[in-house]
This record gives sequence, C-alpha cells and structure tokens, in this order.
Amino acid sequence: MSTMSSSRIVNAGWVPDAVGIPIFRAFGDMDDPLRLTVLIADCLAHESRQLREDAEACKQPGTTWAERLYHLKRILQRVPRASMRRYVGAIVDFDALHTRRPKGAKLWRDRDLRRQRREFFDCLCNAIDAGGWLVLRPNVTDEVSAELPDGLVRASVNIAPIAKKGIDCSIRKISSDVRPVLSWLVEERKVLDVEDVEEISREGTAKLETYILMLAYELLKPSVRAAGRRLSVLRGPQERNGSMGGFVVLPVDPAANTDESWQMADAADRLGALGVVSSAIDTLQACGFIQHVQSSEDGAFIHIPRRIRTFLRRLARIESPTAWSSDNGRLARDVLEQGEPYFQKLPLAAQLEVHQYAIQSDDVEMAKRTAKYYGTDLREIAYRLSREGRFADAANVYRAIVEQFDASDAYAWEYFGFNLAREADRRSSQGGTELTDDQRQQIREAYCRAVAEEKTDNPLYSGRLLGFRAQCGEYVNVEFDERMFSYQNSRWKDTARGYFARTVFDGLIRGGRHGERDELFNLWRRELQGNRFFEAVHDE
Amino acid sequence: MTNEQLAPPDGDRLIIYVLGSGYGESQVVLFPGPERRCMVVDSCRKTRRGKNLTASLLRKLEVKKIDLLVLTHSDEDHIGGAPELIDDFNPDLLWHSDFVGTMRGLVAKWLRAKPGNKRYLELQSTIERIEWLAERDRTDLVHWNTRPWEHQPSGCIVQAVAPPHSLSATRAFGLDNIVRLNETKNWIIPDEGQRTLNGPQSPGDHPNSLSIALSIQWLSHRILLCGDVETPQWKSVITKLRRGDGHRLDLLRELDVVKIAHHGSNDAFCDEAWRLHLENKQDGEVIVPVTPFNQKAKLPDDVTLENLRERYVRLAITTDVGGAFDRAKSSQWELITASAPMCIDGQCMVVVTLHRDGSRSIQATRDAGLFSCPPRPSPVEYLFWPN
Repeated sequence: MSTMSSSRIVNAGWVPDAVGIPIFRAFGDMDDPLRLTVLIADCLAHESRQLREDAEACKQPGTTWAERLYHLKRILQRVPRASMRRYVGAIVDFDALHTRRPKGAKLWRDRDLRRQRREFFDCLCNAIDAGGWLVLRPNVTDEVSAELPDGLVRASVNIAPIAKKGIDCSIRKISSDVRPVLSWLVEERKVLDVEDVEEISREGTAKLETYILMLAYELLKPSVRAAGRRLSVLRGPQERNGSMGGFVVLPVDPAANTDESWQMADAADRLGALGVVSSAIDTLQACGFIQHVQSSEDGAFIHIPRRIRTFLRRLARIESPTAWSSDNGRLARDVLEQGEPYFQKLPLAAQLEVHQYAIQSDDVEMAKRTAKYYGTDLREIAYRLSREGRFADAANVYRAIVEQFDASDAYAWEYFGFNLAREADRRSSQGGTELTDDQRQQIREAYCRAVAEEKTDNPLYSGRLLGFRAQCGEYVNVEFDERMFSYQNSRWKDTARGYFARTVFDGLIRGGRHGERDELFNLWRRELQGNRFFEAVHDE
Repeated sequence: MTNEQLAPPDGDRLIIYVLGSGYGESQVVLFPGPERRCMVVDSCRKTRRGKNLTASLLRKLEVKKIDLLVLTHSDEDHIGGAPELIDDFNPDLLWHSDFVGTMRGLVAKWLRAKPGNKRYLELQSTIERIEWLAERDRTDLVHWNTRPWEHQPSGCIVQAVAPPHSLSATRAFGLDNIVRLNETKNWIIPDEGQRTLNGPQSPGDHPNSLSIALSIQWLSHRILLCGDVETPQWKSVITKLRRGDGHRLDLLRELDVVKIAHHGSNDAFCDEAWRLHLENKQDGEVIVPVTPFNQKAKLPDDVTLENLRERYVRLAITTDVGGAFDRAKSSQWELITASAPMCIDGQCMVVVTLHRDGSRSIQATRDAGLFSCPPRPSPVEYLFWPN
C-alpha cells in the first residue's frame, strides 16, 4: 500500500498531473468558501459512512458556517489518504481564496465575510500542509506564498508558456493567466517590445498585468470585446461543442446583414438562446483571453482565466448592469425551465453555478429556489436592493437568510435590522406612522443578534445598536463614553471611533435629540474633528 | 481669399493649417498633389453657434475625405468635433491613444446617472464613431513605436513619437482602479476616484499623459505636431528615441515647424526637447505656431513666451484670446502683421506652406498674429546685454 505523498505546488492553471483527480476551482468570488466546502465534502465523502455524515451536514442549507467548517475539517483530516495512489484533489487558483482588504479602507461592514474566507483559507492551508494536495497557482501572490508551507513554495514548479526567450526574465512574475495575452501583444501584434515590458514591470507586476489586459482589449474589435464581456458570466471550464456554457455558438454574425446571418439571427431568436459568434470566440482564443484547459480525461475544455474574467466582468457590469443581470437570468432560467428533476440531476457543480447565475440576475425568487445548499450569496441581492433604496425588499431577503439558511450570519442580522429601520424612517418621513412597538422590538433584536453573533466587537454594529436605542429614547451617553474610551487601545482607533460615533449620532438625530448629540460631540470634539471616517460616513 | 489661394492644386507644396480660435485646436495637413488629400490632427470643438471650424475649413478646401484622422488625446478641446469629421469626411484611418473600450463603460455609467448631460452625450457620440471605424479595422491605438503611415504618392511619412507605453500603462492602471471601485462595497473610497467613477470629475486622470505627438517628414522638411505632450512625457520620449542607434531621435531634430504642446503652457515646455529641435538651426528658421486655450487661461504662458524668445524662433499665435498678444509683446515679441492677412470667415489660424525647393512661407488670418523677436545680440553686444 502506498503512503500519501506530500502536497505539490505548480504555478500554472493546469498540469497533466491533475487529470483524473477531483478538481476544485476558486473563482475569487464571494461564494468560494461555501461552494468549495459543499463540493469538497460531496466529492471526498464517499470513502466511509462517517465522512458521508459530515458531508451531509456540509450540504444542508440550514447548517451554520461554524458547523460547516467543523465538518469540513473532519473530512479533510479523515479522508483515507493511505488508500489513495495519487492526490486527494487539486485546488486551482488557490490565491483567489485569500482575503484582501480593499486598499486604504479599514472596513467593519464586511468583516465577517472576510473572516469566513479567512477560516476557509486556513482550513485548506492546514490540509495542504498535511499532504496529498496538488495546488495550482496561475496567479501567484506574495501574500499567499507567505502563508503556504515554506518548503512547498520553494519546491514549486514554474511554467511560463511564452516562446520569446528575451522576455522570459521580465515576465517571471506575471501570472500564467496573463502570459498568453502578453505573448500575443509581443509576438503576434508586435505592439509591445521587451524593453517596454521590462520598463513597466519595474513599476509593479499589477500595473503591467493591467496594462497587458487593457491594451489587448483595446486592440480587439468592439464586437469581440462585447462577446468577451458577455462570456465573462461563465466561470469554470466549458466545452465548445456548438455551444459554450449556456451560449449558443453562432457560425455567422447576425449583424453581418447577409441572408445567412438573418436566418441565423432568426433561429437563435426562436430558440430564445443567448448567442455568441464563433469568430469572436476564435479571436478571444487567439489573443489569450480564452485559454485551453484540461479539466478531465474526457477532453479539452476552454475557459476565461480568473484574472481576465474579473477584468471583463468589471467592464460588463459598469457598462450595463441590466444586461449583466439579464444574461445571468437567462442562463439560470434556461436550466430551471426544464423542470426541477432536470435541475436536481445536474452535477453538483453545475447546480451551484445555476444558483450563482440566479444571484447575479437579482431575481430573488429564482435565487431562493436554486439555493439548495446555502443561501449566504443572497446577501449580494439584498445589498443591491438596499443600495437602490428598496429597504423592505432588502429586509425580506436578509430575513430569509437568517430564517432559512444561516441563523448565525451576523452580517445578515445586522442588515436585516438596518433595512427594517430605514424602511420605517422612510415611511415616517412620508407622513406615515411612527415605529410601532413590534417594529422597534424586531429591529432591536436584529441589531442585538448581529452584535452577539459577531465574534469580536464591531464598532459599526455596536454603534448602530446604541444609535437605535438612542433613537427610541434611551439614555446612551454613559455607554457611548465607555465605548469611545475602550477604542483608545484599538489598532484601528480612528476608524473605530469614527464609525461608532457617526452611527450613534445619526441615531440621536433621528430621535430628535440634537442637544445630546451636540453635548457628546463637544466632549469628544478633539477625537472626532478631522476624523475622516466620522466625517465621511453617513448611516444611510 | 479664394479657395484656390487656400489650397493651390499642385504637387510642389505641403500646407499646414493650424487652427485655434479659443474653441479647441486642430491642424489640417494638405498633402502635395491635386487630389486635395489630407490628414487632420484633432478636431476643435463646436463654437457657441454650433459650428466646427475644422469641418468648415475642410469644406472650404473642398476636401471630400480625410486620409488620416489623429485624435491626440481625449480632452474636449481636441476631440469635440470628431463625430462631425467622421460623419462628413469618412476617414480611411483613425489614430487615437486613449482606452476607448474602457471609457465607453464609464461614460455609460455617467449617462445612467445624468441622462441628458451634454458633455457625456458628446463623449458617447465620439466613442460610438470610433468604435464604428474600429469594427471595420480602420483605427489604430497609437504609441511611440507604432508603424509609420505613408501618404502616396507624395511620400510624406507620418510617425508617432509619443505616448510611451510606460505612461499609457499608468493611465490604464488608473482607469482600471476606477472601474474596480464600481464593484467595491465601500463607503469610503478615494475622493478623486469616486468623482471620476460617478461623473463630476473630468474623464480619466490627466489624458495629456497619453497625448500623441506626431512627426511629419516630406522631402527635407520636418514638422512636429505636439498635441498636449507635457515635460515628463517629453523626457520619457527622448529616452526611448535614444534606444538602439538613436536614429529615431532625428525625428525631434532640425525641425521646420513645431506646433507647440499644450497651448504653450509652462508644463509643456521641455528644455531638453527644444535643444534638439533647434540643433543646427539659424535664428528665425523654426516656425512655432501656438493656439491659446480660452479667455480665462493665460496661455501661452509668460515663461514659455520668454523661453521661445530666447531661442529666436518665429512665433505665430492663432488668436488673441486670454490676452495672448499683449503678453507676447510684454515678453518683447514684436507683432508683425502678415503682408497679406487672409480672410476666412470666422477662422483663426496660421497657415504654413512648405515648398519642394526647401523654402517656407507663413500667413495668418486677420485674427491671428505673427511675431518676430529682436535680433540675437552680436558677441560684443552680448557683453553688455541686457543693459
């Protein structure tokens, strides 16, 4: 019986070693921890009855994150490695799982999301350390290298798929996702030369990679760019066989204005299908935006690598959020219209993708209907509803998250309360009724639950709770002072005080208690004046 | 002045019309030959009466089609008239330097927030036209190393010397960060980024860093049209042109005409570049047209006017806005009226004609001014200069 080998790191998107073993892909999206937990649990659990029980717990929609993580750890620890001849599995784009705080911001609002991501990342790091995993890193980052076992990082294999020798040195740090695009610019289009690349790379890899992608994007025809933006809704590898993901591949451009193109447009329209022109896919492949990937022994697949997909997705969403949600909605509906049995028979990974399409479509009902294993992603829809001022709808979605899915979701509790409060404010300002006792109670409970579920003190959540109590007429000055003193030793002193004080003051103002607000401000003037978090943030 | 005088139909001269009336700037280069073939650099913007001066001039010149349209960068005073030029003069090829595909998304976002905003609608209209040409392979994203374009049969060669990729990369990185902010669930994001993302900030961060500068060579004549290239960009360009055997640096040397960069701002006056421009040149041999910006901006800058005077060039200011003529006089420039001031309705421009035999002539419309500077002091006199 062979013993388990140690893990191995390869700095590339795929390698032949990965064929025949389970592959788990990180996309750098919000759903990574839950999606991968479900997929890993489902895939590895058939080895024993005990593991199957853990896997079932991981797949139950009502399981809390803490419970899921517990069961996932058990699965990863107990997977019978000694019986395996090869790797337990391959994790593709491991760096996408790392938590990054947006530059320049010490935010409290998404802290529990980042914590969830962090816990999942640590869990996988431990598993990798224990051995048996193939880790593929097409986008190597220093932060992740620092967290992986040192010996594995040192022994990692680099693959640089670029032919021109002179450029090899300067691109050593460029992600393998982006290298084919650089190759196209240097060798095929000849718009960049080695010296230019080296000069820009001295200013940072991120800058060079961004420039490579943007330059290549600008050199494409607008119709090809549009096809790239559309296809960026697809995440994993796709087989190109008359279709690509949910897109029908059209041999002729419907806009070409020929008899054939008209027939094609008509046929695609009758099918009600999303279409993408074949030549556009060819061009996107030629320029490296779409790349080949071997995802199984069944054959070759293509995909838009994560770094490029993120770039295209941002452009798609800024240009037309409605087209983005409409395309996603169409992809989800195309599956759901074939009936529940069809959906249930889909491979698990495909079901989860349909759920993701539903989330991105902003269709609450469809998103709830496809949330078979977890519902945390519903936050994305709720967040957008809240930003649009649809507080009641947003509150309903957050309520669904805590009632039907994860009752320990501090963020959902917080914003359930927040949106209920804003909806009540809106009605009151439009001449409606004041807050009823029941509503008060509901909002307060939601805020309290958020503070309780958040494992460490969150000044934003604490501030909102205290602010709401102030709005309801409670005397909060003493608690306010205590908190402000306690933040004295906080690492993020100014941020914490700024967020906390602003939300409490907003509550006092909503409650019409301007005098007390002024009194507190005068007491803490030195700390708050010039605090950009206090001045910039408004609890709206 | 008749149309014939405006554009003599022979193969012996190349004519450069430098337009600048306070409503943006533009240069029209009429190639030698009877076909009235031309290239246009930048497009002015519409006057208060909705008239585009570049388009008017082209009609007057009876130009039917633009061979090469160059939009040096995306500032309004350079691209405002582009839709009209593209619609009416169907350019064979368009050179631009900005990230049109990315800007398209930002402009769409701004328009969703302010559907009727005139500036955004103009930008969108320009982008749509550029994309229409791009779909037909009639555009090129231009950098310092883009392959030259040649006009046949005159043999006129047009070559970009700026922008360098390194500055283009900075702009790309800035734009990408702004697009990224659109997806960030932050309350606090950088002010400038937020203003750009949401519209009120002028589009992009400093598009001057992306400005194209063009070298045009015809026989022994050399012309440099500098767009809005500023000093840091010049320094980068010079470093790049020095690469290899440095022969491309000749594009900045021994020039007949330099359309000065960025309306003659102090930031755009690069000493190192001017040393190259004037190499082996006698006093008064280099013609320097400059286009003031508007009434408010004091452009060309006083320091630039001084710098130019010390270099003994021939200055031509396309219009007297922002007190340009008075400030030139204060810098000891002498206004000389052209012997035959042209009269083209409403146009403020300088016309430089380069002849096959190597000679040159310069004319100005009635609103434009030609200036001369006092003769360079002899070495003896110089001992006592400036007293």
